[in-house]
Amino acid sequence: MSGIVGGKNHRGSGLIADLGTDGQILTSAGSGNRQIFEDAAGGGAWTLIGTSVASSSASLTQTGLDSTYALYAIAGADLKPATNGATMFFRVGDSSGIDSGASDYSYYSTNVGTGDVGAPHYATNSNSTDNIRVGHAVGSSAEDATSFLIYLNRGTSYPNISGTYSNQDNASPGNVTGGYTIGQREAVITLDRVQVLCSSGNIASGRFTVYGIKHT
Amino acid sequence: MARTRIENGIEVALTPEEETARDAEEKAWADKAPERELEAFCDKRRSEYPTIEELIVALYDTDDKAAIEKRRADVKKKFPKPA
Repeated sequence: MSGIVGGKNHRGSGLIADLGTDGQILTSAGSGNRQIFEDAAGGGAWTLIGTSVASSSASLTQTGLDSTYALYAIAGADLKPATNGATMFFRVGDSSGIDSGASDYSYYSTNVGTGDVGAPHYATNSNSTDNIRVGHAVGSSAEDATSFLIYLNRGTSYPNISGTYSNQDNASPGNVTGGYTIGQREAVITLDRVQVLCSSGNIASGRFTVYGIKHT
Repeated sequence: MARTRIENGIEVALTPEEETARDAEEKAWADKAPERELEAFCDKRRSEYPTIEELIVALYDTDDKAAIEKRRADVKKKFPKPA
């Protein structure tokens, strides 16, 4: 019977259940009924928009964001700057490119951490700047890197983000530091791309991934 | 060596205009380093100094005042002024 799918009342009979279409899954239709093929439930699923791996890269950019999703999740994993102590910048843009004007963004970012000397617990913010901070004083040594998970509300208002980050700083050995970041693009734009880069120097390694989040 | 960027997983060389823009951006960031350092220094000291309430209470107690003075001195030692 290998390879034969039978319903409850046909077990062992050799009958094949109704075939589904591409992407459907075989699932129960309730007590006493035959299993049937149905579309997979999609509620709340994260859909991969794209991912990039840094290799001594000036920036990592992902396009393809549109009104399909009002909310996106953006993950930075194990991002290591080439320059010790670099700050990680986040930016957004539209079909004409990434926005990097001197007053394009506002943000507030906390920074707390461990360490006996220079242990941070402070915040940095700006009402008019060219980026949103998603990592502070990130170390470039073997033990150092930064990661973040932020949510981007693309919506119809000013695109805005909220999320958390953590990294090893540029002390030796690196202290773990991190915090909460909120920020926004100071204009309504037809956002279709996001970017991460360092304040100076390249991103030596690490991954940048964007997901669209379904509401239903 | 020409810089590259990654867009949608594909490595792309920076155009001459992008190289110029990136150079300017990095210079602007470097030029503001002293300003950021001073801001961080102030934040760090402020976050560990005694509160105004503690300072007021210490005005009326000799032991408290001595403890406050030591705490302030310790914070100054922990976070020295930038050169």
